[in-house]
Amino acid sequence: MIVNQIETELAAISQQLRSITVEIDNHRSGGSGIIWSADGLIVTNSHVVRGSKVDVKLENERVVKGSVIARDNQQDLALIKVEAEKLPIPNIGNSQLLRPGEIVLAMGSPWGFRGALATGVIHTTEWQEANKTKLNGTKQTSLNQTPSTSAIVADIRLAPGNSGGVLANVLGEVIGINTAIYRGLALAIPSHQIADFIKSIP
Amino acid sequence: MSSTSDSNSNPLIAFSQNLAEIAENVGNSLVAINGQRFPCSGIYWHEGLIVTSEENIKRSEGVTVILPDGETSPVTLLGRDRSTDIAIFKTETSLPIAPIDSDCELKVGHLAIAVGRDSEKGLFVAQGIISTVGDSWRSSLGGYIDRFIRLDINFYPGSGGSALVNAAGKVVGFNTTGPRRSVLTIPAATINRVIDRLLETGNINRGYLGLGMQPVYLPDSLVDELSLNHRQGLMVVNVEAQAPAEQAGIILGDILIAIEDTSIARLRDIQAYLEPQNIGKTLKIQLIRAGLLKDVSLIIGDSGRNK
Repeated sequence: MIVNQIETELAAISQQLRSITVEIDNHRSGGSGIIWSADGLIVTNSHVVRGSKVDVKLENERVVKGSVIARDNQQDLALIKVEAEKLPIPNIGNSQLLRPGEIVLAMGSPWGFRGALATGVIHTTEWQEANKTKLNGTKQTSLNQTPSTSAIVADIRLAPGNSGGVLANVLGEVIGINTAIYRGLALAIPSHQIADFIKSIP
Repeated sequence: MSSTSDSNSNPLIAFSQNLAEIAENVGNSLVAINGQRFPCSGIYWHEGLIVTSEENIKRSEGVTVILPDGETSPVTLLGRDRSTDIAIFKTETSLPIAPIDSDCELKVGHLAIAVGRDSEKGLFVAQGIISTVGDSWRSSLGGYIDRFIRLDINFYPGSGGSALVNAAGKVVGFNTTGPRRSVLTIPAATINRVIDRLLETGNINRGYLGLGMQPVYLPDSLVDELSLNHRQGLMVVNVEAQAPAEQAGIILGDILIAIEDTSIARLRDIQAYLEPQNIGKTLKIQLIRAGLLKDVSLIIGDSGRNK
């Protein structure tokens, strides 16, 4: 049964994504984050971490203290450091090879439900310039009010709490970080931009 | 799961690639239609012919489309039919004709792949499932739609006229909005039929009576007195001057209860008699006036001439 095989794959990817996704709580707002390195670097949206100290809940329910070591409000990205070792790390996919119709998966804490999976498809790949100009001036129904990025646009149902969480392809590779909802569509910052952001930190 | 997984052995990867291929292939036959009430997609249906959802169309002059290669090209409105939500444009540009299947099996639970083109977003895709499949139905304006297809899918602004593509990669119709935010598909069979007629006349004239009516329940006493076999009818609340109904002698307050010896209870019961081919034919109408049954003959008018 092919549906059965697909289901098995989805469950496996889901488990893998859950292990690299954290829940972030800074007492005023919450969201998700993605473990980026085994020694405790975690990326999230800057709008998820308003202050400099956050509580980070790992997959095994362990809560660790984190410090925001870099943030870029323009890109809506932030980097957190937690004291931890041997964390599971994600495979990073090529966010520039996406095709409309391709299946994507989102992992995060929508409405605070940790480890929740959503599936959908890439909606369009040609809208980047348009959404860049449009988003800045438009009020959104959103996780965040001011993304200024060439976002991945996906037909997938997100909710507040997905912010900072994983958008992955069917290989289970991270292709983006879920950042905003615009007219019902999910916008994610592509993984190559996250990599550039981390590289830019001294 | 790892990135070394092979699409031959991993059905999820194969599924994903297949969806993207289907979208790309159909996308070669899709255009974005500019400058309308709402942005919408058009499907290159026949050589030189683009089909879209009529409800999005406002202007008929100076309309342009954006082609798959990004170029802008002028188009001419050839015809429109509100009752089936179909509009057709003529283009001088040649594109691959959409892979249309007007006769495929559709079942509840089948994949619904909506593919369109937008002037800003370019090629776009949404995926859901077919939620309801039913027999033919009539729109609120009386248009005959060959199949009832309702989708469980996200319908984003600008999705009007987007192609509904099946798992075999065939275009089975275009998507539009129905009542209560439902997403409906106008099936290819309806599009083919309406295109033929639009190409002949530019619009579709339907039968016309010149009546405004309201469904009513009849009092039990009247039902008993007249030995009626049903208790509903349509009360006349408006009669247009010079219209076929007025010429037949129908007046305000008449309650229509049967056409051609078939009971009528709702407005849609009348729509079936107003198909274009019935214009000029005589209808036998039974009505109640002042508590008595009365038969009248009415010659069906032409909506195009009487509006």
